[in-house]
Amino acid sequence: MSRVPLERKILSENDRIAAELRARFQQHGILCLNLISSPGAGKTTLLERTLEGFVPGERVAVLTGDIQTDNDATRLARFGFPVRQITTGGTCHLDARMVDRALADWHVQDLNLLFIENVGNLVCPASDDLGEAAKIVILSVA
Amino acid sequence: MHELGIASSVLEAVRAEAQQHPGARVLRVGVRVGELAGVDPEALTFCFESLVKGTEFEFLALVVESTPRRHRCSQCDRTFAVVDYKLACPDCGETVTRCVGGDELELSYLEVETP
Ligand SMILES: Nc1nc2c(ncn2[C@@H]2O[C@H](COP(=O)(O)OP(=O)(O)OP(=O)(O)O)[C@@H](O)[C@H]2O)c(=O)[nH]1
Ligand SMILES: [Mg+2]
Ligand SMILES: [Zn+2]
Repeated sequence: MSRVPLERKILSENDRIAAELRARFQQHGILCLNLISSPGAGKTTLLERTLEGFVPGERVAVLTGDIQTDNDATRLARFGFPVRQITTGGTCHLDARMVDRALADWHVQDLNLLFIENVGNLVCPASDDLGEAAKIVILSVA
Repeated sequence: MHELGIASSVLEAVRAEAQQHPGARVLRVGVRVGELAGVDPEALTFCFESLVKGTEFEFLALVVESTPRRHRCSQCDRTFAVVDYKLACPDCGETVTRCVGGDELELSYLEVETP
C-alpha cells in the first residue's frame, strides 16, 4: 500500500472563478461588495436606503441571492438600477460560478459599483469568495 | 446540502487521481478540515458514504483530519492553537493576536493498493 500526497484545496474551482471575477472587476474599476448577514438582519433594507441616495444614471447594480423567492429583487428594482435575482434553489450561499453566470449577459464594464446581497445565513456565505473587494457583515442587535 | 457539494468535489479529485494509478485500488482519501471551515466532519462523511455507495469507490474511506483555529502573537510571534476562544498568547499573555489558520479545506493524501 502506498500513500500519494494530494496537497490541494478542495473547492479550488470556486477560488479560480472568484479570482477571475476579481481580475475583471479590477480591470474595469468596479467596486464589488458582498453583503452577508443572518436572515432578516437588514441587507435589503440597507441596499434600499443606499440606492435611494444615488442619482439616476449612477453606474450601480445589484445581484441578490435567495434560496427561493424574488421578493428582494422586486424591492430593489424600484430604484431604477439594474437588479438581478440569483435563485440558488436550495443552496445556502452564493458561489462564484452563480455570480459569473448572473453577470454573463451584463455589460459589467459599464458599472462602477456592484452590490451582492448574499443568502441570509451567516455560516457558509462567510467563506465563499465571490471576487468581491470586501464583505459587509450586517448584525442585528436588540 | 453544503457538505454534499464538498463530498462530490473530493470524489471528483479522487477519480482524477485514480486515473494516474491504473489497476490500483484506492482505499483511503485524507482530507483536512479546519475548525473555521464551516464544514461538519460527520455530515461530510455521511454525504461521502452516500455518494460512493454502489460505485467503484464503494470501499473507499474518507478520513477527516480536523485542524484547530490558529493564532499568531503580535509580541512574541509564536503561533498557537486556540482552545475555547481563548485568544491571548499562552506564552507571553499578549491579547493582540491574529488568526492565521483554521479555515482550511484541503485534500491531503490518497492511499492506494497496487497489485
Ligand atoms: N428596527 C429596524 N428594523 C430594520 C432595520 N433594518 C431592517 N429592518 C427590518 O427587518 C426586516 C428584515 O429586513 P430585510 O432588509 O428584508 O433583511 P434581509 O437581511 O434582506 O433579509 P433576508 O434577505 O431575508 O435574509 C424588515 O422588516 C425591515 O424593515 C433597522 O435598522 N432597524
Ligand atoms: Mg434580503
Ligand atoms: Zn506571545
